[in-house]
Amino acid sequence: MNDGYAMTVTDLHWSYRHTPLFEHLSTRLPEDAFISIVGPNGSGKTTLLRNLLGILEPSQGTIELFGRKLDTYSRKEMARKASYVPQTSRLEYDFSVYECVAMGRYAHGGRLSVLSGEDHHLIEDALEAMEMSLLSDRLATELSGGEYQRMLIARALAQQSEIILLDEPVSHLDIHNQREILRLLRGLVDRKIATVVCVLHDLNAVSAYSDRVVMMREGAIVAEGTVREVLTKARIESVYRIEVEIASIGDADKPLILPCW
Amino acid sequence: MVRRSMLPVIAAILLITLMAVTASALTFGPAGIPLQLIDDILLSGPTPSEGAAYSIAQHRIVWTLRLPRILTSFVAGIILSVAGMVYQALFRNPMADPYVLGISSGAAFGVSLAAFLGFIGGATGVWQVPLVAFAGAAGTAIFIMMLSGGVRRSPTALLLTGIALNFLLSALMTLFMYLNRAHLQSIMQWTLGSFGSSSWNKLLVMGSMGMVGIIPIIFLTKELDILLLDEASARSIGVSVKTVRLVLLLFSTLATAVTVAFCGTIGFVGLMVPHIMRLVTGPRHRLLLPFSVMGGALMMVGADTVSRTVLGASELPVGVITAIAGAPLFIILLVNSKRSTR
Repeated sequence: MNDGYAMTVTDLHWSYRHTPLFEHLSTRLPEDAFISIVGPNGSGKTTLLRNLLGILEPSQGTIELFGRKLDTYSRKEMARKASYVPQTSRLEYDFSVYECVAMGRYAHGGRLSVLSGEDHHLIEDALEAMEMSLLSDRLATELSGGEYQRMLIARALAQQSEIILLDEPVSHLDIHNQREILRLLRGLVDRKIATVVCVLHDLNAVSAYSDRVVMMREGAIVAEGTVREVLTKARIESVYRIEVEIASIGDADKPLILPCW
Repeated sequence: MVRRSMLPVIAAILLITLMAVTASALTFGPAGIPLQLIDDILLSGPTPSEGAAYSIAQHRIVWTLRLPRILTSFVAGIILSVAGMVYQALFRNPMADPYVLGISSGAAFGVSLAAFLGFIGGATGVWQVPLVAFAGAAGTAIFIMMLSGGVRRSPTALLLTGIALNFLLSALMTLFMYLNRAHLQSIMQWTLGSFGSSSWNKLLVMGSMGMVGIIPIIFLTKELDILLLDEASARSIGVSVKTVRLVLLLFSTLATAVTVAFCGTIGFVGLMVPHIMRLVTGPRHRLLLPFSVMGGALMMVGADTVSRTVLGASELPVGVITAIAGAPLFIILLVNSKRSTR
């Protein structure tokens, strides 16, 4: 049983060339929530994400995905449960947007099978959910940054996974595109299509869209909880070593964080 | 990329051209045999029939010299272009192929070393040579994987490693030739590439072992597409990247080694054909594979026909023709890659 948790991490250790990055890391990620992972550069956010996906193997500890240990999943089973949107991965080959999204159906198909009617239907749905239907014949190499990111999320949706893990999906986008992507992701959570776990840098975006925040520093989780519990003036100042002011305009649960430059 | 609806037309043109070139290749050669007689000779089967219009010598030229040779170049073309296509996806590098990366030289080196040490000679069966070649190719493949940090480092580092290995292996083979002049002729043949010593027996071995290497690739076209993504994405989509990569490397290296064992190292076919075909089909391997098969056979039968006729009575190694055609393309790709990536 998973008791409403998509993922449970217990006592995770991970080292790179004998230098430990995490020790005794534990957390639980609730289902049907927008969970943000924040922290300074080099605090281990990407590594944690890749451990959660089984792309990196922990040296110690267990990760459970929907109540089942990660290492008991085959690669394909894993892909049907959890999908990944990497930080930067510009493709250098001329696949169309549709073909890229269709790759998300890999884990659902047989060895030689062509895409079924249902596959095409799901691909079209995924493109529509990401407002990419009109771009489906375009080459992925010709997309703008925001469009490319939306295509990767559509591919994750085509995987029909219950949880989507994204590594800084909006970091290099303008504020319009940042808002578009985050709004679409929020929509997935609200419609109970998927749990979203997202590494983000912009604390105001975190504040506006998250149900839950996990804050990391130097390979350890220093705080987790709701936006108001985690994003306090004292904690941000100590983790990021910068002075901030917290303001609230409108929704008190979505405070604004103003760095004092 | 060509419009999807045009692909069947292009495939048909390619297939007809391939059949026409293969058939007309039979008429080329020092002994001029007209097309009419070729038909009769082919229809009469492997033993000449009584009272036919052709001479026994003409029958022998077609059945024991030209036909096995043309079919050998046909099969070698398929193998080398498919192996090139696989290597390009495997290393996520448009310039990778078994020849450029030194894998073909590794196979030739394996054969030369075995010949030098006296393990194989005139009397050994046709099965030993490809096995020794495979050992040499696989050893080189493992070495290059380790040296270049697999595929993680820059594409240029991988190519430079391959080029350095090529230098080293050629030098060692030259050394063997000087140390043991008795083997000079046979080692020369492997380093230059030729279909001159083709026979039905060798074709049978090369064809069957080559197909063992090629057939699994038909079942891995989806994986080949996904390998073009970054490794983390490929794994998260559900591909067991390490296993798939190992299987692909093993089988395509086997097919390449078998070809080198019988025909020597023939460069740039594995580089050129998938590239030209990708312009037609786009990057999807389900389409690229059959087009590369046709294109590879066409290019190799064509190149071999040129190599054995262009100088009149004497023969040019086929590797010379493919290098003259292919090396400029390699340089163009190199220049373009410097402009566009990282």
